[in-house]
Amino acid sequence: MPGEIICGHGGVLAESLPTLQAAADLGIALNAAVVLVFGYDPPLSGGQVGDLRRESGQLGEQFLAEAKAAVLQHAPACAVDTVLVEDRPTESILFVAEQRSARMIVVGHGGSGPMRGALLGSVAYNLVHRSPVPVLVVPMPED
Amino acid sequence: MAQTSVDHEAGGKGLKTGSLGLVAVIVIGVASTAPGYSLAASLGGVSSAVGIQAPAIMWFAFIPMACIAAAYFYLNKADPDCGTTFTWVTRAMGPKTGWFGGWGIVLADLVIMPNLAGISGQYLYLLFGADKLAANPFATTVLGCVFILAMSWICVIGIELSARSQVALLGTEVTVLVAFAIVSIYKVYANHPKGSITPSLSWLNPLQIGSFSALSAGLVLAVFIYWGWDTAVSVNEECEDSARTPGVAAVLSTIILLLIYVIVTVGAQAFAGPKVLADSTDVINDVGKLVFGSSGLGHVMQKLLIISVLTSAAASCQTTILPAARSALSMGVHGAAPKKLAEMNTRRLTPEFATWLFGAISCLWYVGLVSISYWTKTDAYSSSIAAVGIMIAFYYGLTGYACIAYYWRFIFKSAKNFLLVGVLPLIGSGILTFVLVKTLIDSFKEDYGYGKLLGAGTVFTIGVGLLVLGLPLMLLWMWRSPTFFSYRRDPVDMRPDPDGNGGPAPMLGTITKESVNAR
Repeated sequence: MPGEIICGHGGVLAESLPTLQAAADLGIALNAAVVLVFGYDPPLSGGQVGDLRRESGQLGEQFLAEAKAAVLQHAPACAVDTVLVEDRPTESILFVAEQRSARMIVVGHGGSGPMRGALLGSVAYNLVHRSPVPVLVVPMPED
Repeated sequence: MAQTSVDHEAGGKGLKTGSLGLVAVIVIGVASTAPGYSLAASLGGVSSAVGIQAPAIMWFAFIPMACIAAAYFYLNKADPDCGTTFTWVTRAMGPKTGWFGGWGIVLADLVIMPNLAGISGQYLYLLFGADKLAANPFATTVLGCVFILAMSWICVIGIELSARSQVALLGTEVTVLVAFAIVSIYKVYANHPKGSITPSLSWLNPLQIGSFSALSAGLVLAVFIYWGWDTAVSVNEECEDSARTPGVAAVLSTIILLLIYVIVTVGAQAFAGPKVLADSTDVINDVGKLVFGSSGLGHVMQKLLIISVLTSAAASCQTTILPAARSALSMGVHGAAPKKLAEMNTRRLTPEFATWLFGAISCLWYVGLVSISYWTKTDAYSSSIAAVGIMIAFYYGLTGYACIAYYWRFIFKSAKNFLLVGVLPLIGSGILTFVLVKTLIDSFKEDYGYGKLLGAGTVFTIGVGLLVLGLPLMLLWMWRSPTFFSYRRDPVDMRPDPDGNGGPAPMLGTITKESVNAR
């Protein structure tokens, strides 16, 4: 189904709640399905990552299940799909958006403060610059 | 950076394939080996072990490491796991030996931390011209512990430098080291500074090393300078063109490292003579000052040299903490150690508990070593490079034997297999076993250097004491939690063809006593 809404999930439910709810509201309003994406990628500089990647994947699945439940609780009529991607978050979201010809991307921003975002890059910042489709950036609650 | 392509599978799970380009793999391999720091930490020791033949040891030590890298490459095909030796040896030789492999990795990482932290502390002071503090063990220990905790924190929050910054840092490091070597050699020929000697090709000949004791004493220190290089080989799963890239990256990173180690050693030795290197506790800085001088550009170059050692130590610290924590995670996941070690930081997806535990134990170990060195005649702190050489020889050697044992059925199938899966690991493990046994015999005696601790040579006490400490720990864990020890070696027909695309073996833990009996 073209025109889905891609929602990048950060993992921690309490922080992502406003983002998930915004995506759900849009999904209902536009009659579009919401695709929750969680991307993870352990740094390779320490060598092999096998078990770490598997553990991260299991956590990712758990995060996605929680997020899906939260979306459905907020908007029971919303169609929700989840995708777990083994890649950095920005790459994961862009990949799924392109693959599914998404109509837009919803992503949270700001939970960890502007300094950290400036130094380490932020998913929202990267998406705004690189996404071929509109991006809705939802402020996260303060820590 | 390289393009990222992703395979999307049905069932809502995507897999990354081939995101690392050639440059990135080389950078990971060379940065993990940390040439600047490795030289600063080991050049003096190597010089006192083998004198004028130091450049020969520098390249000769690469042979066993390269051979073991072949074992890493092929075992990684069976199981690309962050437990590495722990996982592979369990599969090839059973859980008890595997457990000791894991113990060896974590110990090697732990034993080197005081040295890493010490050099970082020292060079941080030197960077700001606080030379007095840099020579004060109390001041360097405090700063070193702060450094360990800071690096642990970085590993927990999962910061990774962008590929471009890594290239820039490594580029600076390599350029400064090469400049150091070239300027030294130039000055030797142009100005004949006091104490300098003309380089000779015979410096590169390992056969001129006086005795087997000297050879093994040199090797046990020098295997350490290539430690981490295998990372370039083992990240092959992530390469853009996984058939070609890892091979080319391994060859290129080897050439870079060999050249750096040999020419810097030749340069420093020609400029200052082996006696000065052997007596210096801080070769790169001491000789760097003399080589670059204190004039404008020389001063800048000298500061850059200090920065190179520092960034290199930081990279090395990260590539020590990360694998230690990941091995601990792996052992925790498979029940070979407390489950708590597998506890993840849910925000950063890192093995948080294992990382902090490792950082904390490193600090205690560091303070302990410095205290022993300060209050007794023993130089326990300086013995750590030789002690880590023992650990590396132990677990790398074990990995080589595991490769042969695991792929036994395939070794005689083709000449390529015979060479890469059989002969090379055997040579590597053979040399390392020789180094291990010879060092244990020699270092038992008090005159090995670094003094005496608990009735034997300090290197022996630390190296063997820590390894043997694993035995009661393992027995205790077998009694508390026997599940892991019911794992069995992979059945021969389930081992993938090292030369084929058979893919990984079944997950560790699916083959137990019960499943083997049921077959």
